Amino acid sequence: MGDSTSFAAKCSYGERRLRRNPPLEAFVTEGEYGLLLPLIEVRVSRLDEMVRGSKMIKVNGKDYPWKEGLTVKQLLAEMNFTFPLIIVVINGKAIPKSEFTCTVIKNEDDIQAIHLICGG
Amino acid sequence: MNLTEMKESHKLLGTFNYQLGQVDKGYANRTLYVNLSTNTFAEKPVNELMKQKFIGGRGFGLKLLWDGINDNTQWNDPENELIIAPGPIGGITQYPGAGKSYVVGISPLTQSAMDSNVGGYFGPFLKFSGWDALEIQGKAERDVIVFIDGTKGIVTIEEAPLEEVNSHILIEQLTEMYAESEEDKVNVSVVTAGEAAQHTLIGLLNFSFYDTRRKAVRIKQAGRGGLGTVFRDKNIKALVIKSIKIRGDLNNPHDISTIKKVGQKMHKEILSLDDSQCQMRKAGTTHIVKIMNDYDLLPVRNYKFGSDPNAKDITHAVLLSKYFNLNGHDECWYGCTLSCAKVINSFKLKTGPYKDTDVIVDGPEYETLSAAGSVLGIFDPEFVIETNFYCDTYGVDTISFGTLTAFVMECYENGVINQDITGGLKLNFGNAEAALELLHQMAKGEGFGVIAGLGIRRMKKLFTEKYGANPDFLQDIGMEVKGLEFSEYVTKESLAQQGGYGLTNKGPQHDEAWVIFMDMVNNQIPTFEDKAEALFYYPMFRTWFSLVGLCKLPWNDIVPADNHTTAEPAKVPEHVQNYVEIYNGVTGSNIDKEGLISQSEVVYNFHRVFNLRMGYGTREYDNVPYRAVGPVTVEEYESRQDRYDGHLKEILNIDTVEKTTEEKVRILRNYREEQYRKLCDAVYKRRGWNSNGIPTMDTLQRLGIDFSEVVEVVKKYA
Repeated sequence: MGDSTSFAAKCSYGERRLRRNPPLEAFVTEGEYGLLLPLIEVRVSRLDEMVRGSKMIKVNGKDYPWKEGLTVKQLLAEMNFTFPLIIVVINGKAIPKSEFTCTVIKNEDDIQAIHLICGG
Repeated sequence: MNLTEMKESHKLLGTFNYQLGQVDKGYANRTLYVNLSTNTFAEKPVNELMKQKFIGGRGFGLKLLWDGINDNTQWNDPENELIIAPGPIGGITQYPGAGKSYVVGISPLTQSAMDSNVGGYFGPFLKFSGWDALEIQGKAERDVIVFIDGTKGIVTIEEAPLEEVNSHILIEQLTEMYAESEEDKVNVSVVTAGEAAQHTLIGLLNFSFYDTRRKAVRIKQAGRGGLGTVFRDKNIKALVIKSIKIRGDLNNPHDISTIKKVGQKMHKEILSLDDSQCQMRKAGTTHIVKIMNDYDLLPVRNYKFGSDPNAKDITHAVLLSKYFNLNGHDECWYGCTLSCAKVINSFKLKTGPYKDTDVIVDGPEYETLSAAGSVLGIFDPEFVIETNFYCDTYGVDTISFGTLTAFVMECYENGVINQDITGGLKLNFGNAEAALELLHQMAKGEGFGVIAGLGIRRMKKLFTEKYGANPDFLQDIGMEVKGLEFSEYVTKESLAQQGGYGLTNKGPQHDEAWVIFMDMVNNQIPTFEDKAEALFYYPMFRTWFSLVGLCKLPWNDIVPADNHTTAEPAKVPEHVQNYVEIYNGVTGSNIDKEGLISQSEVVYNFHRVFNLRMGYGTREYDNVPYRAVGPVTVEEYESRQDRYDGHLKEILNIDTVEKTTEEKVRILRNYREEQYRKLCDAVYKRRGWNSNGIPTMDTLQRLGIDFSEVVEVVKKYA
């Protein structure tokens, strides 16, 4: 019946992570916390820095978590993109299939993984 | 019974002698009309308007059918026709995939104009025998063979009482009977149906070619739409054609050097790149099973689910390691380097009238692996192979067989029908024995096979009226549109492909549009306008193949090495340009890429008006069952709970925590059904149709098909 490693489950992972870490504005307002605000701001700022510093890339228009050293080949494996005819474009530049293993993805890269498939 | 006795028992009912003629720039410039009620023949000229507007193939078929029937013609009336046509590019040998024929007739399933495509040699042989189309009308009193001798210019109608009806024996008998020698067998092609085509509405047509390496007949299928049932209803046992020896210049093309150059480039591309791309030459379309399963798109248990751990047992890896034999002809026309028609040289049957016989099995292809496999909850490759064989020889469409049996299984498991109704068959998902027995019953016209063979649309009505079934539930789970069963892809997560199936002219067959990946995975068409544009371009482009006699697979099951650098890699622009050059090279025309689309738009809209003429071309007939759109049951929703809860939260801002699954199913359904309605609005607008899905007068005028009879139909409904 499909498992948690299915494509569809992975696709929503990025969105779920964002919702667990909403932006700063959701936590505090000046009126509520008055004098304590700077301290809270610092603490929340650090939290927010961790959250905002969370590394994300876009894959086919959807957010996906990034990690240091992530290659194209690894990304395709994590997404379970197993189709043999996939075109990968990073920030508008096409990556040849022969370079999937050695092409490292950077934080905030915009990636398109276009499957060319006709149907049987 | 030997062949001499069989031949001697033939009674000659009619003979037509004709001048052999010559093909000129892809056209024979005439069509052959055969009437089985009167045993008469006619030669009809093909004029420039017909070539300009309808091109060939499906276009010719639709035009001849339109002219040949009346508004009230039913599929089993003598006025219904069966038309087979190749197309102007059909029969070239320099470029892969040039052997296709297109069969057109009024379908028993949809009761409107159906077209079905098929590989094999018959279409090109027909052209080189002097005909751009074969048009058959009327009904014979007893089983007949229509024989076209393209070496002598003679057509005969012969009563044929003694030959077998089932295809694997009949085709061998007739190839042997009509070939002058072993070497001559390669010049003979036979069209047959089978026993089950007589007793069901899902009959197919087998088109043969002789495999010189395996020294055996091979078959391809015009599967969809029940045209094999029309064939048997006319008491046609077989069509046989004998051609002159094939040469690469028989189309007398305008510019053969261009065709050769483009072809050589393409052959080189296939030979050097196929192994690192889709491996069509090794695995054919079977490589798609694993992909669909990985992406949650493989129909499992009547399209409830999109994957199953057991799907690994019916992938290409299993077929290659244990069953396929790759040493013979794997192309279904000369010069096709893609060579994807895989075959099993020897398979011992376990059931049925040919039990314990070793037979050759053509396939299975992807569609059959799903239809005779995953959609039934069956993952036994030998069951799939046996079902493939029997569907072919009995003459039934594997796709319709599988999809309707899956519907029956879900009805059985939900208590809509029981063993009293099924005659003892325990039609649970996964019961391979019961499914095969159902197929054998269809062949014999017995038992529950008679009911199942009516197809999903008629079964829904019957189960409601006779067994008190809930019609809404049956509508939700019965995977058919316009009366044709769905082909084998799960569309729940692709709104565009829901339209790709629902907004077709013939019914949910993916040869018109296959945009699932572009939509759901690539996310290339996020807006309604994007989807509408895709559902304009791709159906029009894909229709073009059916006009000219080409197979689609060489278009994008192989791509040039630098395709990824082009502006629109999904369209494979270099291959589109190849087709422009080949079309111009054969016909002497001067079209460009936009010209291909314009040609298709004419025929596509004509087909839409044809549906209207038969009473079926409006918006209500474009609706799809909810199983194609979203989860019908709690079980389906909870199998993908993360996904669906995520959609409710992200798109509709609904907090799912407090809601029951039933409530969530209902909310999601309301949303998705509204999305489908909006998609229809956007697509109709892009296609130049009104809000009821009818081509506007402006569209008809722009396309130059505002003929008086077309306008009369549109005015009646618009």
